[in-house]
Amino acid sequence: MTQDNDQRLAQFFKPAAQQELPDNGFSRKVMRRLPDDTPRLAHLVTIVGVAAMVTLVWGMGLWESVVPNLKALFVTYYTQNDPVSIVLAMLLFLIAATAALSKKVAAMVN
Amino acid sequence: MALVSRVALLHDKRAFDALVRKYQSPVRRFLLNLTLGNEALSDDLAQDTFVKAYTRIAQFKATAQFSTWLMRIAYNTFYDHRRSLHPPTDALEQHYALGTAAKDSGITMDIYRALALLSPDERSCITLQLIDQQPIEYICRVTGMKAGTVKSHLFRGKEKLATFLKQNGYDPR
Repeated sequence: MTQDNDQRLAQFFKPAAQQELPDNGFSRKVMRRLPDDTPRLAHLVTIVGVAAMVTLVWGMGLWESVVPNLKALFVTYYTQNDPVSIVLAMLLFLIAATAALSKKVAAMVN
Repeated sequence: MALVSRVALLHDKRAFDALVRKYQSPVRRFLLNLTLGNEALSDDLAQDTFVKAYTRIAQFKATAQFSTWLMRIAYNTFYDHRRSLHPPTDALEQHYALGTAAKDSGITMDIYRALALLSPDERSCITLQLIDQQPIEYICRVTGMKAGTVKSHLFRGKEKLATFLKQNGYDPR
C-alpha cells in the first residue's frame, strides 16, 4: 500500500526530478556578486613592492628594456587576478637587478 | 588540487566558478520546488546560497560532501527568506502558486499545486526524497531534523499528496 503510493508519487514527480536547469548566465551573476576578499594588507604590500621595484629599475637605468614586459605582467595580474603573473614579474625584475648589480660591481672592481 | 580546496586555501575564483557551474542545477531546482516554481525568487535565493558558500568556505569540513553542505545552505537561505516575510504564513504559498500559474502549464503546474498543499517542512522532506531521490540520512543532514521528524513529515506529506492525486485523476483506483 505504502509502496504503491510511493511509486505513484515517484511517477507523478518524475518530470520535476528529470528537470535539468541550463546555466543561462546564472554563474556569471553569482561571480559578479562575490566579495573582493583580497586583504587590504596584500594590496598595500603589492603597491609598496611595485613602487620599490620601479624606483630601483629607474635608478639602474633598465627602464626601456624592462618596462614593456613588467607592464604586460602587471596588467595580467590585475585583470585576471593571476598570481603566476606577479611571480613572473618579480623573477624578471630580480634577473634584471642581478645583471645590473653585476655590471656595477664589475665596474667598481676594474 | 580539488576545486573546493583551491577555493578554501587560495580564494581561487575560477575554481569557484567551476563549482557554481557544477552545482547550479540541483541547487536551483531544489529552491524552485521549495518556492513552488517562482523562478525569479528561487534564482535570487540560489545566488545568495552560492555567495554564502564562498564567504563561508573555511567552515566547510572535508569529512562532509560539498553538495550536502551546499544544499544545507540553500535550505537555510530559503528559511531565512521565509522568516523575513511578515507574516511567514500560508499566504506565501498562495502567492508562490499564483506567481507560477502564469508561466507553467499541465503536469508542472500540478506538481507545484500539489507541493503548495504541504507545510514548508513537509515540502522540503518530500522534495529531497521524491524529486532529488535522496535517502533519509541525507535529508537529516540538509534540514538538521532528526530521522523520526523527517519520517513523520514524509508520512503526512505523502498522505496529502495521495489525496491530491485521487482528487485530480492521477490515481486510477
